[in-house]
Amino acid sequence: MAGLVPHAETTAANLARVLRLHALRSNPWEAHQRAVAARRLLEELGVRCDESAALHDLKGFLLSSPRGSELVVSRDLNDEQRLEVYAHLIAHALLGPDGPELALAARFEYVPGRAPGERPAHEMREEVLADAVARAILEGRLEAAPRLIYCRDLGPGRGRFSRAVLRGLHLGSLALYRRSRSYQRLRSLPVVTAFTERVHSFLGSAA
Amino acid sequence: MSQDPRSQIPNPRSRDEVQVARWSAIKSRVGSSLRELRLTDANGSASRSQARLAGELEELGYHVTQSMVSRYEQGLLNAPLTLERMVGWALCCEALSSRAFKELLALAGFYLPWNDGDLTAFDDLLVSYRRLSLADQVVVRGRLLWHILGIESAGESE
Repeated sequence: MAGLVPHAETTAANLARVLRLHALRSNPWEAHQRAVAARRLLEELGVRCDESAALHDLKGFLLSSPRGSELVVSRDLNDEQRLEVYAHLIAHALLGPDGPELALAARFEYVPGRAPGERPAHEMREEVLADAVARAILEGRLEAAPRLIYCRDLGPGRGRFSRAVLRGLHLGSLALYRRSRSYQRLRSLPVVTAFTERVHSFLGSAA
Repeated sequence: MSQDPRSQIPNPRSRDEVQVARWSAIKSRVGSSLRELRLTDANGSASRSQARLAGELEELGYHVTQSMVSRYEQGLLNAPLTLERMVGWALCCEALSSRAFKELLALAGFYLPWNDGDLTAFDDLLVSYRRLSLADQVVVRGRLLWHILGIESAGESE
């Protein structure tokens, strides 16, 4: 059985890292280079990418099965839009089902204004969350999202108590992040990110 | 006395004969299942005409004429309907459900190792997929063929 993409956490972390490294504003080829680098990285990590599909209402989609994962992107998108689709679908992979992995799973990325009207509530909730996580990936700062989204294992901790506190804090942060756009914005501020990293280092480092 | 070893080597023609015999045994049931899928209304939408189905299979890269659709449905065609055409046909039908799909493929001798969770997920996927425009459905169908059967659709492999 397969997840939405193999090693979603590693893939998202590496994608954010590559985008951070390519974020040189002075370079006119920036968007193209970032898109090429992102695609190359995804393919190296086992995600097949096709940027030649003739899609109408979709910007792209992700399909995965035991035969592999593939990202299909519309040929009409420019480099920036392609990058957004990659980041968004990888964000979906991070947010994918926690339960047993499925034989066949898909996520669709719609052109704005062309998404179907009647989408299930859980799909809409995941969409809002994926927006925020995709922004963090595109900014090259995955740490701007709650840690439990991109790293389920919180590490050993200093002791039983500090581990419980750490887990409680991360779960609280994740719950707020799921519900509140204001918290999503707050959580992405560099000062807040730095603060949460310090708290995590303090409580999470083994004694 | 030992038997002449050459007599144990299967004649290549006999492999075709096995396939033909196998198809003869299942063609009526496969045909009626596919006909039922095509004709059953799903959520009040109209059933697919044979011509439209033939056109959609053509878009997937499979040459199946309207007359072939009709004869397959009646179990009259002796040429076996390939697994990929069968899956393509099923994916074109609004009434397709995960269970019907699994049963159809089992009839054709292809076992889908899907549990209840997988069946539910596939039904959800079908719901999302049917909300797409026809152009997008055609692209997704081609990819689904690969993920279900492990084969490229004819259009892609060219």
